[in-house]
Amino acid sequence: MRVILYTEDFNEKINEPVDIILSPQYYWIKKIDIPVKSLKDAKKIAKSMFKLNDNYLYDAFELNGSFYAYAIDKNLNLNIDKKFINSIRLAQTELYNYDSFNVSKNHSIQKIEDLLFCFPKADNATDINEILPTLQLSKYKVNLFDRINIDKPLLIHIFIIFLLINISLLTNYINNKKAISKIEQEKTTLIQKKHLPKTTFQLNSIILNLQKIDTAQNRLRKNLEFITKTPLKNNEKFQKLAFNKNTFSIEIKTDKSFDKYFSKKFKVSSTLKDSIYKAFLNE
Amino acid sequence: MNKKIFILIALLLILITIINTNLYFKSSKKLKETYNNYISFLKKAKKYETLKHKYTLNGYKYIKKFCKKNEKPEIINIFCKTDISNLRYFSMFLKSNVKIKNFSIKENNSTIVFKAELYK
Repeated sequence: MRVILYTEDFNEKINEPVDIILSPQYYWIKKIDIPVKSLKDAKKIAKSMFKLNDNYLYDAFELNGSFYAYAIDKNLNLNIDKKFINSIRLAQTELYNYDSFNVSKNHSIQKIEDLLFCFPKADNATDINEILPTLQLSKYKVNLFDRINIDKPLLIHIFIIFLLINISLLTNYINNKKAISKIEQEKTTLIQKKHLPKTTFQLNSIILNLQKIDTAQNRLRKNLEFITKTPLKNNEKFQKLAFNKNTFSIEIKTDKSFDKYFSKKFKVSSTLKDSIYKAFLNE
Repeated sequence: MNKKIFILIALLLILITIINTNLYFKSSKKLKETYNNYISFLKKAKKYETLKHKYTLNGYKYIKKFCKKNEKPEIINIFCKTDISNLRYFSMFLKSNVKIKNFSIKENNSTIVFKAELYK
């Protein structure tokens, strides 16, 4: 990819992706003289190195064991379409190894006390066009356009809100899981304690059977009560009362039929012979 | 802040929040289901207990004096022969919460013959 040095005199029409090296005319730079331990610390103090406003982007980099802070206008207007800009770099990082070179008809760049500055064109200096084709670009890039301008405290607040929401959701999720586990444990304990079947399906089946038996037993007793309340006269009495397979069989010593009474509740099949009333009563 | 990193972090946070929300709502739904199932199971267990213990052989005490009992794996056979004056005890026995399969009671010359098969 083509590398260009962007100076104030740059007027070429660019129609292909390029790596741009900014001339020192476009940024402020200072060597950090105070002792800093790491690049992270250097980045932290970068802004304090300059008395500029918030329209500048502040950053730092390490070069040959020294830390440098720079400030660059966030609204820097380059005469190159953004879609053709592959990267933006500083002359300081890319051309540090060259002490003096001419960059245009009017300007040159020279290194003074490790910092590159713009000067009027110098005699006997190398032309930038001889340097650029063989230049090995460094890893330092200026992230000028791909940035989002959001207030840091606001960002922290939003992050904290998200964090609290997530903590709350996770806490509730864990509590729900614990509650589910507790309920299941209680169910298991109940099953073991009461010797219950393990599934609701099995329990339902057993209950259904028990209910059938209960209903049948209740019906038997009601029917028995009805039979024992048969209006007998003094000379009449039960000689037999039996129950088997939902059918009552009775024998009453009497001269009359009790069909009318028993048919209130049962289907009656009866005989009256030799003063004995025999009947089968079925519901 | 780098736009790409910001978008990535924002998307990640949103994704984590969505996952956690999903986890929370699923667990809430499951908790509700588990609780309702447990309550239903509890009610059925109580019903089962009530029905299971509703029928006992306690009523046998009324006729114990004049009866013989023969216990089989699922059935209890009872045979009794006594004076008719003891009829009321059989009435009490039949009204008690024994589980009757079948029975017969016959009277002949002031003597009662009572037979019954009870479920265990």
